[in-house]
Amino acid sequence: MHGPLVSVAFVSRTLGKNRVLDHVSFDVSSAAVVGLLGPNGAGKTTLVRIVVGLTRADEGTVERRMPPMTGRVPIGYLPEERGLYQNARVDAVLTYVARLKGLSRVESENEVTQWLARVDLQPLATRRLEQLSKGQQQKVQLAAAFLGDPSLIVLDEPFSGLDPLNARLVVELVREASAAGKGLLVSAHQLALVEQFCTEIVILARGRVAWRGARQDIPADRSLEELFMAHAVPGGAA
Amino acid sequence: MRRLWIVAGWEFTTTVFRVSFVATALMLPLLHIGLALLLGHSLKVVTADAREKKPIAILEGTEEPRGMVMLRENRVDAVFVLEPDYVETGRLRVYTRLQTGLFQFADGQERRERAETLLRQRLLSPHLPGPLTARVVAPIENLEAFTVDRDGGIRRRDETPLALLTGAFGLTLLLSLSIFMSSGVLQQAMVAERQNRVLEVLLVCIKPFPLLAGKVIGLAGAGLIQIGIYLAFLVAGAPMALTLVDVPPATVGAAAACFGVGYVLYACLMAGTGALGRGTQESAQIATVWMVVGALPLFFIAPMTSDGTSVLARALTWFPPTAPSALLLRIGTGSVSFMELSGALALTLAAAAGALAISARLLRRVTIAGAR
Repeated sequence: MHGPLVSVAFVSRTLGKNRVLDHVSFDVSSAAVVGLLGPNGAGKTTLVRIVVGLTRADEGTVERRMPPMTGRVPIGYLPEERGLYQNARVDAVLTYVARLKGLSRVESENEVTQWLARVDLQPLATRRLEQLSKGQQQKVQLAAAFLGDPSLIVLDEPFSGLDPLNARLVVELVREASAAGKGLLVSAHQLALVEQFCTEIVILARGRVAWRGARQDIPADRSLEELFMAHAVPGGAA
Repeated sequence: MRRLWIVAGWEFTTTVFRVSFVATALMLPLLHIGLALLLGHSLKVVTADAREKKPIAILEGTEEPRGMVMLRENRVDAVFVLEPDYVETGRLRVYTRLQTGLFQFADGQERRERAETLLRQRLLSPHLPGPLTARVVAPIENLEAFTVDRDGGIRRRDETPLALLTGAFGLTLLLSLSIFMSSGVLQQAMVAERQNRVLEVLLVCIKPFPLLAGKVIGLAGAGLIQIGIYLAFLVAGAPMALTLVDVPPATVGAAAACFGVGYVLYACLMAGTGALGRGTQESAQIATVWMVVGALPLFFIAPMTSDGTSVLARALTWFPPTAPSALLLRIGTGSVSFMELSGALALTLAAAAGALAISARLLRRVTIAGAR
């Protein structure tokens, strides 16, 4: 498969009177990890929702060129606000999501078992979600996003609510997915963590791309945080 | 299509194993049967009281003191005292024991009717032969009732109007309740999924229309389970309530079709309502409007059952939101033709499909509206 998995070109979106996105362009290629950064209200979640197809852009295009996967959903998505079915069992919820992603019952059950083991939740498989801690529920949702071997994985604020140990687990999962050739788009505020795994960075400010480039394009004398402060914050240090 | 059935299976299993569903499915029929038994017992007591009624006395003015003694000793229910000029003026007085209660006026009316019968006998018997007096006093004693259908066929009418009305009302109320309860579950589920953002995960995997259709099908299955439990309770545990299901198989089939179509329509409307409201309270308020509209025919039960082919009955039958309960009422009274039943149900199904399509659009729009 050649070319990017997703090409976002000159995308704009207005909600009410607010221009949330203004001519945003970037690509997500196989094995790439694109970090989507920006202050609150920069338009990251709207952009993520456009990329996964939950909403459409008012202007511009989003081209998805995923490898063909018979009957399977090629996108794994972790939304910013998380809930799932609180009264349902962990394994039942994950099997339901896996089946909706196009896996057979047997494939679903096998993958769910593997992913629960990967995120250290195997002993809690038969518990109801409401019986889990917030961090454990986060990991269930993370497993749901990775289920079904999607080509593109979109994670909106994956570190929110996680302790350092579990944040480390997310970093590992992202690296493993990237090594397996998947494209990842990760929206996050934790710059130190993002710096560990991103191959490309897109900084949004007031709906526009304030800076975009490969990880190695960041000047050697600057940290990601300095770059962010310079471009995302009005009047930030240049 | 495969994903639609996965959603249906999920909705069905998560609903029927929910504690609230099991509690409602078991408790509501028990509650209704309890009420029916209580009502039946009350009616029995009232009937027994009526049978044990004491006589009333009709006396001349000079016999008044004797009448007062009879009343005090509880040997009579009432003493009617004729004034000296009774024949010319119709004047008389009545004495009863002091009583309180809601139905006093009905007792008074009943005593008055008994007194009138006795007075007629007393006035006529000196002048007419016995049988003629009896006929003048009670012109209708044994009435056989028949119905004539549109083709001129004549049938004996076995049901009393009250039983007919109760059967139709009971059936309509039972099925309407189930429709509203089952579709209400869908509306609540939609609100919850919107609020906890599960919808976003689902909508990445499945389009809104099959998602909603799957939910409607899954919860329809749960609704049928509920009705099944209801009927099982009725048949097994409440002989009095059997009048509700003591109907011909064709009527049961037609009622089941109305229930199915009614559920589908209201599930689609409630799904849209769940997608439209910004929270549980707002959605519940909108849902109340649908429930009032849906139950509208029950407010017109008397005119609809007395003349099932009236303009009102037909209008409510051909208006999709009121069609299910209007048809259920009219089926109970045998006033709806197969063609009208099929036509109205087809129109209601078309309205349901339209409601589902609008709900799917709303769902996508409001899910996205949360994006910032």
